[in-house]
Amino acid sequence: MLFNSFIFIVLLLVTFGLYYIPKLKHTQVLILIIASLVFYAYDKPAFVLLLLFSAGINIITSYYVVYGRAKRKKTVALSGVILNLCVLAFFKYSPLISATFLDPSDSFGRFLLHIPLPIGISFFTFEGISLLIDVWKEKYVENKVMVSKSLAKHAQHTLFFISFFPHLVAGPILKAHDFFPQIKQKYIKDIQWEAAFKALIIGYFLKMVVADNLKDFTSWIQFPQFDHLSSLTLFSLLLGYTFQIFADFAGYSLIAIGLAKLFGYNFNDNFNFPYISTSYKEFWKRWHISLSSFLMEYLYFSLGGSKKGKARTYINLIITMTLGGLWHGAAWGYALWGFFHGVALAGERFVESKITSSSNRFVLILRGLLVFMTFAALLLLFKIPDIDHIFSFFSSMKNNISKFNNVRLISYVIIYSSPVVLYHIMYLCKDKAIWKGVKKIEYVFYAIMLFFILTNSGTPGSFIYFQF
Amino acid sequence: MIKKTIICFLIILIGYIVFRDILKPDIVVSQDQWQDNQIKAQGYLYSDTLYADNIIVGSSLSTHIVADSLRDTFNLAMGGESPFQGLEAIRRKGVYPKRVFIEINTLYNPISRFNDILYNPLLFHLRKYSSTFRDGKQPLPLVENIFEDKLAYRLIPSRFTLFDGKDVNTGNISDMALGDMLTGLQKRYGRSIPKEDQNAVMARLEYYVGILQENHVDIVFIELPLDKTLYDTPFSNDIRNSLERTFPPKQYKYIYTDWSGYETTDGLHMGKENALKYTLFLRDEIDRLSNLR
Repeated sequence: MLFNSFIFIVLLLVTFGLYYIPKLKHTQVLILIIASLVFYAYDKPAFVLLLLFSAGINIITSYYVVYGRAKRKKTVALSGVILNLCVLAFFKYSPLISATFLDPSDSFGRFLLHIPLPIGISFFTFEGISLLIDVWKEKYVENKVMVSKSLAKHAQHTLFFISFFPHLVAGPILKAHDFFPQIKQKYIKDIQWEAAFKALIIGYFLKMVVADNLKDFTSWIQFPQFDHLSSLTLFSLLLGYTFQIFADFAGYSLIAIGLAKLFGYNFNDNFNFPYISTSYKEFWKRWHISLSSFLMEYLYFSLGGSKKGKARTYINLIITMTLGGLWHGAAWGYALWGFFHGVALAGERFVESKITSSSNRFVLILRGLLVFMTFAALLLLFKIPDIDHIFSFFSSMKNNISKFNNVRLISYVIIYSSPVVLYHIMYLCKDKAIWKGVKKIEYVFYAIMLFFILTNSGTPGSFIYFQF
Repeated sequence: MIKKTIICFLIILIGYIVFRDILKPDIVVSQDQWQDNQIKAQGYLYSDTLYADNIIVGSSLSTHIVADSLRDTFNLAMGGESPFQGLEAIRRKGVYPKRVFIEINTLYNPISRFNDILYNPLLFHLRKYSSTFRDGKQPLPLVENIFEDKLAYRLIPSRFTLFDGKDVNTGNISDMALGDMLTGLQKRYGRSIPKEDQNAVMARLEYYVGILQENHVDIVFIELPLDKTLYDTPFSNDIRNSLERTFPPKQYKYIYTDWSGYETTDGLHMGKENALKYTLFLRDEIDRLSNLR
């Protein structure tokens, strides 16, 4: 079910209406769980069973870790994490394992190849792991706050945490210690209307106007369609795709944040203007923050982080990013994407250990361009599944200088990418005097975005991150 | 802030509706093939005056048929889609032609979200009463049009091709790429269509044919020529066989042609010359069928 579909609007209105009825105040969490299961079941009802199974694993293991026998807590926590990873591996990586290691004519290989991929599995599995590690380590919130003594109540809260529809299928990845303390009765008078409104408008604008329109042009980035396009056209399309993926994903995250606020829940920001980054390290603190912070906290630190010497730090960075890449999809291209980002982070760290970084504005701009173009180039691993075709793309970009430019394509890419550029520029200007003037008339910008949402939305496409 | 935003939005919206519906109602700008299809379908659905004795439904293969060369014919074929989008549009409009030509080559194309968007409950009715909400009336393609005319050619070096982004058969694709495309097509056409898919598609087609027959519409199945290496393949044969099993040739009209007499630019689409040749062939066949009545 897409956030911009008619059926979703109906579901949202019904859920919102029921949620704040005073007589039903004690069933708020249950109402949201039912709405979330309806939301998830809409496309493939059978996968609800998987969602319930995944929640079940985490309910039982997390409860045991808090209230079970002390001797077995570590084993149970570890078993829970492994079970989560096994579920993820089976449903998500079976086709990759089959294609890489098994004989395709073999019946088992064929079976694995056809395992369906449930939407959102990467997200809700990671959230389950987050719950288990949080209760095991008890680093942020006291366990008794997170895990109710009543198993039924804990089951309800855990199922709610994992299935809450705004973030269910494409994040942000919630951390248990951020979410569980928020679970309590909510009142309509406490809704942060303005914050929700702003997040929803910007989110829907980025998704429906920017991403959904850009995708119709960046669809030319496929073999052999790009073969005859000029270098400049191809370069424009690559930039267009870079802005599209930001708009799609950041848009979705903002919609999720806005929707959650309507029900009294706060999600952390998932994107913090990543394209202004002047280092790879900064980039990964601004892009898909929920995933990168999850990987840092639960994987990178577990591997030793930066505490075991320089060489080990570089290896840990590369491993973390490679696995982070593989999280995105069951294809070696994604692992390669992560690997290259890991190498970039490690390389940057190495260089910074040798050379003092300059704060000269020109140098910062150059660094920013380098970070942006590296990210843009590596995004081709998401867009073009065949690595040979990626080389063809770069070859076309190098060789097609004398071909005629497709002015129409380039113009549309410029027009639909400009809001993302403006969005980042406005962020850069937030401390300047001009910002005060802009803030006074910000309602005009929101009105314009709302106008474009109604009159200029592109053809609806699934959120790119649904496939992860 | 929310109130100010909504008031400002309403002012902008009303201003734009006045501009588009009253001051500049005839400007229609499409940004891509999808929008071309939506514009065509919406133009057909919402028009009170558009009527043709003959309607062609199909995909980009049929969009090359030169409808102007056929008597009283409207080409409702849509690039990237299948005949089902056109058939649904005829059903929804409720005004039936005398004859419908159904392109059979793309009956098994995957179903897109085209109809979901076209018949979105809210937008369908909004579009009926205000053309501002129809495709082709969006503000940003209009901005692009002005930008392209006035500025783009000064900022972006070198001339542009007439390649319009809707059609890959521009002749500019390299031979290597074309070879790859044909190999891909031969692979796809080398596979049979699963029985469940055949049953599902035929059931769907039976539904529409039934409605057309109830409204006394003459149905003609047409097969457009593709690359000749794709003619005698499992996929092509399955299309013909599944169709003839469900709609026997003794009861339904078919127009087949010799594929070896035609050239395509990419394995699927005819160029201008061959499209015209096929149109003239179709015209002769239509006359023949009319004389048989």
